[in-house]
Amino acid sequence: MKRLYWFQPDDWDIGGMERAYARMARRGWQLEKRGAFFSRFARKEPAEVCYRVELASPHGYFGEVKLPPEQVALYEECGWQYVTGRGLVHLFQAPAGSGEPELYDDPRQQAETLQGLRREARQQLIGVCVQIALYLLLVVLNWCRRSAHLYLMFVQAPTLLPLALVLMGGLLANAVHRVFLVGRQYRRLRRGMPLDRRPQWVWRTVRGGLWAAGAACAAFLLWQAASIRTLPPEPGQAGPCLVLEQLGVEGELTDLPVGGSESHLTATPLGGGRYWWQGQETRREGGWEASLFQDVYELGSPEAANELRTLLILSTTFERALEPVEIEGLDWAVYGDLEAVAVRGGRAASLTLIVPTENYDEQKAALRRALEALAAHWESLDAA
Amino acid sequence: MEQQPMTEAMYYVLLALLRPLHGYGLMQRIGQLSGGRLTMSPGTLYGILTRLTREGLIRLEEQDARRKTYALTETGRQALGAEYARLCRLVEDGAILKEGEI
Repeated sequence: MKRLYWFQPDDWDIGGMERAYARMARRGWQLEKRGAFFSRFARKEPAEVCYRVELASPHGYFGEVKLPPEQVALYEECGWQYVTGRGLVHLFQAPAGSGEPELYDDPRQQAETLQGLRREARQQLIGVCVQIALYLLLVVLNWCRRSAHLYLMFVQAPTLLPLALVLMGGLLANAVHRVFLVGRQYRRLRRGMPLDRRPQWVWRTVRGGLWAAGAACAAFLLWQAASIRTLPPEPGQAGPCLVLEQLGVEGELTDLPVGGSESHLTATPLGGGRYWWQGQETRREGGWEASLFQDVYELGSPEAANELRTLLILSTTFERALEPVEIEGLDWAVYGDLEAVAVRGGRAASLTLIVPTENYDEQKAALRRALEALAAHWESLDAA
Repeated sequence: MEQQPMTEAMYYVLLALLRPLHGYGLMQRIGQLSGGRLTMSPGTLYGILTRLTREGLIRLEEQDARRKTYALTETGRQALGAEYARLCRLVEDGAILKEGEI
């Protein structure tokens, strides 16, 4: 027999569940079983079927709560066939228009059956709030001393923060809406009004918007990951990055001292014509080794590049050792013993250069020459 | 302490259970007793049966795997009698309507 698994409606949307399963029955898919996220359907003849939800006793807590057999027997004697149930939600069906009495003719009586669902909704809201608070706490604890790295991560993956906010916001909005809707149904029934089975158009619009926003953010990240280019660190192929060969270091290209991966450059698009280049290169000759690590951001505007320079300074290891330096061809630069940060036009770069020297003065001089080489390289790129 | 007035549905359930019945039979009996005026949905009936059982007004007479037969307890019989007496008093007091006095 053919079977189909499909996303199931939310437990708290009673009208939505009844309509969705009736719609599937009209298309020839009969509900067999409800799972945690999916419902299972079996292929049958299309039929006009009416579904009704019965909620189990409020004594259940997130577990399987069966309806008493005598209750099921009574409903079946009245023409309602038991289909399936999971958690507090149980479904009965009858042929549409067959005249079976509704499950409840006293809304106040039916209101009591919503107590379990109300409690579940409140507990879920508390759980979501705790979850989000923990996530935020972990982010703060993990990044509080490295906040510059966190902000740089959001520059390198521009839709990461919006995606995180959409996911957390969506979870919270869903939990709040569930509490609101079930509470409103309960108050309505207590006033003697029947259950509101109408489609929740406002919520569906909001949720659709959140899904669309999340999908757009995720799609961008996927596109970004698929667009990353990996290049060898050679002159003419390195984009705005420097390579050790341009600094007169001619040893053999070798694996990185940390991590052991091959020396390489990567180019990651940031959208809107902007790019993030990352270079990791180590060369060895005889007993000595030289390494160049760099992040170069092509941001398209001097304002954006100048805004980034503060973050690049904060992300260096020896931030306090950096001092300003005038380099022809660079709008702004600072350098220390091992690290430098530079800006020209819409480009900003952070460099770490380690050369085999006996003292810090030679190391610092080598770094200054690297900044001069970088200025000349960027000038030639701008002129091309 | 004076008994709280019953709802119409509770009254007819107790009335129908003057002889033991199971759930669906109870629905039919209520329809007969009320002359078709009162029809009760299965969920409403089940909720009332659960409440009356909890309050000790009815008890489980016998049960098989799925069906339960209910019957009045002595407390339930007394409560039914008291409710009937209260309703009779209301009707008697309302006799002035026939006499034309307001």
